[in-house]
Amino acid sequence: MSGDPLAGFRETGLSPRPAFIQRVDGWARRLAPGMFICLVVLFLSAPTGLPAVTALLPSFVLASVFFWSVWMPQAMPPPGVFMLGLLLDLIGFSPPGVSALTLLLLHGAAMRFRFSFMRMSFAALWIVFAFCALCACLFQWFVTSALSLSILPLSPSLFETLLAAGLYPPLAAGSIHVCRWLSGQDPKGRQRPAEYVPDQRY
Amino acid sequence: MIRLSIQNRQALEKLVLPLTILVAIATILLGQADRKLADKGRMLFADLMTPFRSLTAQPGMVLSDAGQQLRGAVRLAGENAALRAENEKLRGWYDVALSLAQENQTLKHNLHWMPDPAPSFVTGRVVADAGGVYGHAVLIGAGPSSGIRLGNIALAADGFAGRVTEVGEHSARVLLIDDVASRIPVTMEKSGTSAIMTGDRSPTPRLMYYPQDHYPAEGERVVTGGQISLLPAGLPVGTVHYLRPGQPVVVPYAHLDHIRILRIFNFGTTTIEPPDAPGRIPYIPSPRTGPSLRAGMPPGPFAPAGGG
Repeated sequence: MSGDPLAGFRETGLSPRPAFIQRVDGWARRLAPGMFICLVVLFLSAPTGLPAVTALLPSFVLASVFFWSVWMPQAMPPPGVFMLGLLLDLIGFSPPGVSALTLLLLHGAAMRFRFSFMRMSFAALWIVFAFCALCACLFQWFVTSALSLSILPLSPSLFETLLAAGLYPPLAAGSIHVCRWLSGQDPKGRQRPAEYVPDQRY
Repeated sequence: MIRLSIQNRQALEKLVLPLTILVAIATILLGQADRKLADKGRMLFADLMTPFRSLTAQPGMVLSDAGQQLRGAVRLAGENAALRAENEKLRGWYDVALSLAQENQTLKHNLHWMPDPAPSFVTGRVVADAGGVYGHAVLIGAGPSSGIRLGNIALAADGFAGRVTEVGEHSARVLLIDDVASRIPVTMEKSGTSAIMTGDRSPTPRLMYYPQDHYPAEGERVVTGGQISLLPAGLPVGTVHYLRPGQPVVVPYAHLDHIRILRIFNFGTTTIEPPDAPGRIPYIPSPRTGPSLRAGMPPGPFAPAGGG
């Protein structure tokens, strides 16, 4: 018998209305990744003296949005992705909405193929992400060039792609633990037994 | 809360992504249609974030300061020796500078030199590195109340860094010279060649539009040219370097990735407003010129009334 006393209800799609504190807990779990990314972006946009930090910001958000869209899409809803993109645009003084659109398309692609992505090995997923990041950066380059009516240099976009691809493995290694913790699994990926274990004798 | 059936809820969830994409496209179009609104929104955000950023900047600075101190401690002996050698060299230069300044003053006095008006300036801390993939700008935690105006010149400790392009209530945005939108007229100090310095988001802005028979020379100093308003001539920018034949770039003196403090100068209008004059040489009648010489001339605006 599984440890979850509500498993029977969940299978039928019925569940009792969660208590207030449970709802707050659920919301906090869902908002945590987005808020964390937001805080990191705000912190890195302050002058910290780190090298290439301005190029790091879009790459970091790109990798994070992809990771969370694949592994825990409920923590990365489209409005949240939009707000993250808008934040990047406001901070980076780029045309408003361009990063938001790019991130939303990346999020859409990751969501669409999420089940095949989840079955892949880490290296394969990394290559897929590098390809997606390249597409996203080229798309952003194209839109920004079109909006400014001039051909912008391509090298910053390629640099951003490389940075995102390089950033993905350490980011994924860190985030997978957070993801398991947020979704109530133990560090090895097994479902953690519920707090309430009914007495087996009755 | 409205309770929806599972089917309805799933249908709504599927609609969220396309709707958000539409909102993003609408944002792009709105930003293009009304650039002033977009600029206002950005500066409002920057203003709102300024206090928060000053807070977050503190730990970052403490960290990087600690790192610098650590690095300094490791290389203490070597750095000391280098500093001592540099100090000696600078002492020599100090004497040279003193005598040159004295000579300069004497020459200016002898020539009845008209001194340039002294510029007013404010110094501000950089609160945010507002850079993106293509843009590179910094935000200064000082606004119009401290005297910062649109078009003011920002100098880092070592040289020219950028220009003020937007001013909010408590913050101002300085477009740095490596931004893709930055175009600065410059002059090479030795060869006298004029060129336009174009940012391309690399650490070394490119030199463009120099005369084809008068190339910038490798290693010469680049200073600002006085061709545009609000930017005086002669501010140090960097040195010329050839990445490959035919592609000169400027290696800026200012460390554009590590700008902490900027001085914002208000030079006022530095271009001289020409007096109203038509595009021809005025005719000044001389007492010796006879009327026969002026017979074929059309009556210009400067012809004396009733003359001819």
